[in-house]
Amino acid sequence: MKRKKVLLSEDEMPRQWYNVLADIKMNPPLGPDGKPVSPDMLAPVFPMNIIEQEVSSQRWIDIPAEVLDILAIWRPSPLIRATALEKALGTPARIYYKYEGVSPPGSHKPNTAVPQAYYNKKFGIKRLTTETGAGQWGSALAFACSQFGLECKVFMVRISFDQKPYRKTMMQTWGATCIPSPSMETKAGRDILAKTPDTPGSLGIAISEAVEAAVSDASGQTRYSLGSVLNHVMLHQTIIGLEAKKQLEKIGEYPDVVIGCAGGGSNFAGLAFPFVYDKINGRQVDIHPVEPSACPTLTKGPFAYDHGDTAGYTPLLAMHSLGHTFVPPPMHAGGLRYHGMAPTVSQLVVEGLLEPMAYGQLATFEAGLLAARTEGVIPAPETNHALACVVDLARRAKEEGKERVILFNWSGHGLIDLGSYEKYLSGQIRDFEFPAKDIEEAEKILQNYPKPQILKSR
Amino acid sequence: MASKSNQLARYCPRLGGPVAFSYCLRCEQEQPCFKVVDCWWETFDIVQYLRDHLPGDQFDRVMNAQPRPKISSLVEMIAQARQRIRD
Repeated sequence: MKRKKVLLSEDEMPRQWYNVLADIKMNPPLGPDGKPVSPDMLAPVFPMNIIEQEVSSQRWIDIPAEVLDILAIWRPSPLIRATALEKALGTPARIYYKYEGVSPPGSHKPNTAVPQAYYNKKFGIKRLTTETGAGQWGSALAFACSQFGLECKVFMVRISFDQKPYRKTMMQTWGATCIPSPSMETKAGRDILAKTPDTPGSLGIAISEAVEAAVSDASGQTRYSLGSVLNHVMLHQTIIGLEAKKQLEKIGEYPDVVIGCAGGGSNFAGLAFPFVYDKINGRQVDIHPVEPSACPTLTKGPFAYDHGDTAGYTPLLAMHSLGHTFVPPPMHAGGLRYHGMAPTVSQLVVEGLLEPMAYGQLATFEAGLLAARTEGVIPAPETNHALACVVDLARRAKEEGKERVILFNWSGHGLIDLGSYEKYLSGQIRDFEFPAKDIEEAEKILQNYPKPQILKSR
Repeated sequence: MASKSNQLARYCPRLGGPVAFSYCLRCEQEQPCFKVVDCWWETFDIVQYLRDHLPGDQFDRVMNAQPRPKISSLVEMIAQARQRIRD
């Protein structure tokens, strides 16, 4: 029998997180007045011990014993060699993945939900509020709050609340309150419902509600929690990569390539940042955040425009802003490109330490199905982006006859998120080219709107 | 507009699930999502589509969407929430 998994004992769990802010320089975010945001400005929504982590430049930060006790429910997570996937691809590459789907909510999200709940509890907070889209983060925070005896209120975007009833049930099972947003619980929600009672909601509205619910508690015992993008979230997730390094060391391996899907950046950062630390210190490793090609934030600039004149938007010429000689207007250049991405991930791209990759929807689902039919686990839809890159690079290794070691983050299972698979398997998810004969109504939309011209300098 | 556009669907990177194009057009309090152009540009000329179907001020708002760091937008949301509570 060949070795499939590399396990660590609980004693071998990392005792410190790695803080990449010790090794890179970042511009401070600015407040509405144009001045850097100060810690006290965040105090209405975060406890000071979390704010301290958010701005810390200390390289190694101790993981509290109480946090380790909870993480030990599923950590250390296994490092698994994807032998069946390797065989199916006929690749000489050795493919390993960290499987984060073993956590109670089934994703990497509780790696930060647990410490956030702990620090809030320690600060004297009694309840947390948050927003959630598909429900991964909401269920992770619900789980974490249940472990520390905190109340938890989750504002779930209405459209997802209706699409994913089992996520709501998970949250309720852990004792949280899950409310479709917009709701009547906040003034923000009431105002919107008064205008548009049938609104499907949005993430922006749900965040507004969650923040208002925290800020409006006159007792001061409610705070807000965020599951991605922010520095302290990236910090907490580094336990993934720190474990992976120990596990690979046990079998005498080191990755040539590290891959993670990058939406807000937290599962990518969790696996990759400890290897970024090695790379900064001279180790050779390729590190790829992977994103959807349709919504590029890292691999290309966004859809940017040459206004042509100063008065309006004509002529409006489409282009991507990276890799071309054209320098887009400032409003499109730096910010939009990285909108929604963790600033630390964006900064590492700028510094050339990461090489972003992008794949279309079909490639991601094809890779996800191949992985499910070989390795057995149905991946979370976002994990499929990492898998598309793994499959691509494993095939290239075959073409080149190279025995590369590929490590990626299997950030969660997709058992509660099968709606996307259902649409893919029934042919409803397409890659950019919609067969007009199948979508008569869609054709009416498309016929007068050809793809925009993309400018390239070479 | 929505009746024609709800047959186009794609994975929403913000929500983490499939949504119809019609959702992208109205999810921000009956206005388009700020990422609508980024998400649909490869499929068809979304800019021309928006120009043809949106009032001028809405179109300008989408095209001029200003990205801001999460921390900065949180600070603004705190201020807005406090204002709503006072009102």
